[in-house]
Amino acid sequence: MATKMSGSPAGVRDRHKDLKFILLIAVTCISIVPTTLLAILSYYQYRNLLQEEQNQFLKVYANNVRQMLSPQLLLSLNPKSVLKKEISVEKTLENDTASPYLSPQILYDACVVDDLGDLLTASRFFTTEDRENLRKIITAPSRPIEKFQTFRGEKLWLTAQHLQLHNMTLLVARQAPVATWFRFQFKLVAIYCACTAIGLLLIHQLITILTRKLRESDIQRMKIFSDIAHTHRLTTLGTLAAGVAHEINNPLASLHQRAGLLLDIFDMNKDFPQRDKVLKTTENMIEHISRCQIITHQLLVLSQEKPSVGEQTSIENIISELLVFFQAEAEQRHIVFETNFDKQLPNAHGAEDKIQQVLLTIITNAMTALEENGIIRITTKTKDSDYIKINIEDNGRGIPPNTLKHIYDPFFTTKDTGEGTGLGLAIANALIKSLGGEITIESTPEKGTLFSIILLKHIPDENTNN
Amino acid sequence: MKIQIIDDEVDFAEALAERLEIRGHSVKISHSGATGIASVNAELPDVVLLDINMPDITGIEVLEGLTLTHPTLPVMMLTGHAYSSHKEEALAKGARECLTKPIELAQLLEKIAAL
Repeated sequence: MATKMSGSPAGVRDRHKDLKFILLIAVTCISIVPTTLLAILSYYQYRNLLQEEQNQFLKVYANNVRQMLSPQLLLSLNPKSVLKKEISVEKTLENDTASPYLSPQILYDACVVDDLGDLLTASRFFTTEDRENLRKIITAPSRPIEKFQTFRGEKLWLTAQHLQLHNMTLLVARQAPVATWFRFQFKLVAIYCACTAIGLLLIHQLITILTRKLRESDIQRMKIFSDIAHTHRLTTLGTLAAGVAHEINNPLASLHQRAGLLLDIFDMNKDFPQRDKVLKTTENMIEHISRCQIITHQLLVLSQEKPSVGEQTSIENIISELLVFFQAEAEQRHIVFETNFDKQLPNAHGAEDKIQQVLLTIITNAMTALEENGIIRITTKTKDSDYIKINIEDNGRGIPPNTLKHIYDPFFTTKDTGEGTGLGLAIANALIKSLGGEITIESTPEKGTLFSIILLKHIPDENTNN
Repeated sequence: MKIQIIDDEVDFAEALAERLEIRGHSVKISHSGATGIASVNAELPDVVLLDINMPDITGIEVLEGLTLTHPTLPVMMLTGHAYSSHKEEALAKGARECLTKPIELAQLLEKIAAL
């Protein structure tokens, strides 16, 4: 059977459809087959039993009838006198009390036929037209035949006894106990059908549930694997990035010092042609080296997941200091900062520098989103009793949903090449997570963006106990 | 001031040394922990600039050695990493300062002058 090797949910669904189908067929066969066999067996068993009893009874009855037949009676029989003589059944039945089949509704009959198959006595069941059939019977005497259909298609139990001396055959017939028989058959079939139907329904339900659970657990497992693979890829990337950063750091440090040395040398030599240009070039080189060093440091920060040192920090102070830092640029671009600090502001359980870096990144992004004219609103409040929430809201150009999906991905940036590393938010997210907190973003394109940082509150009592 | 640089990054150490010498300091360079300790023992400097990441003996081990033999000698750790655990450990073991590369010369000179 061709199996799709895809790991997608669609692939899983197909595989499970096949599985469900197979299971249904298998379980149905396994459960229905024995049931059917059982039903068939019991049917035949019962029929045979019935037959046996019938035949037994009939034999006994036939014997009794035979004994009733006197030679004189037999001698007087001839085809022409058929209607005049009739063998009485009632007399025989009088003697028989133990039979379970004694019932006034059931017809008995006894008659005598000659060797040609002609009736010699009257019969309730047989007519002279049954000649052929009667001939068939008398050729095999003393053997009970069942299901000899005659007399308006009714089933008869029949036994034949050959009367040697007179070349005649005694036929004893009994109407088959249709009611009982049919009732039994009907009951059996009804029970069988009902059980089968219920059984099939149950099987179907069970298997549906089973395969559904299987499918869910399969999808779950695949999702976990893909998550693990993803995390692994990120970890590998992080390790790789860290390795690269580490390696590059050393030559960068040398470059930095060498460039600085160049400046020192130029300083010492007072004047020479192109001095300004040379100085400018060297300073430019130092700038670029510094930028590289910032990037490598960002990479190294991103790759480390060590727990933070718990220091008591005042969020208020961190924010206020940062706003001072942005003051000049904000004034130039007509951006207004609004702050609203919760009076109950406790100290945050976290590292000062990490929170500062996160806030720096977010405020920088907010300022980039605003370009000219706008408001950046920073509010703090204590959420529940264990958390602090810092909201940074701007009315800038917002973040479209497609970008929002990838916003924490390392190296994802919507800025031009050289403008941003795409690491800012990735690092911010990693830092906040390492503090046990969370960042959430709400954004409407053209309306604005709201960053919410949720941090653990450091409970002062704990500290004093320490 | 007499300065001893112990750093396995040859080029960095030489560049730094030259820049310090331009500013009138006398600088000795060692490229490994062992040679560094030997140099310190031979002639005691005023300050040691010690790199944390070195191949044979780590900077921390050198620091421990130096603080044992020369407890009053100021040692400034230089590290290329931003790992604060290194920083803490170094400061705990007796380093006077812990500076992250790239070293801003001005900052370094300030700290040396402050000793």
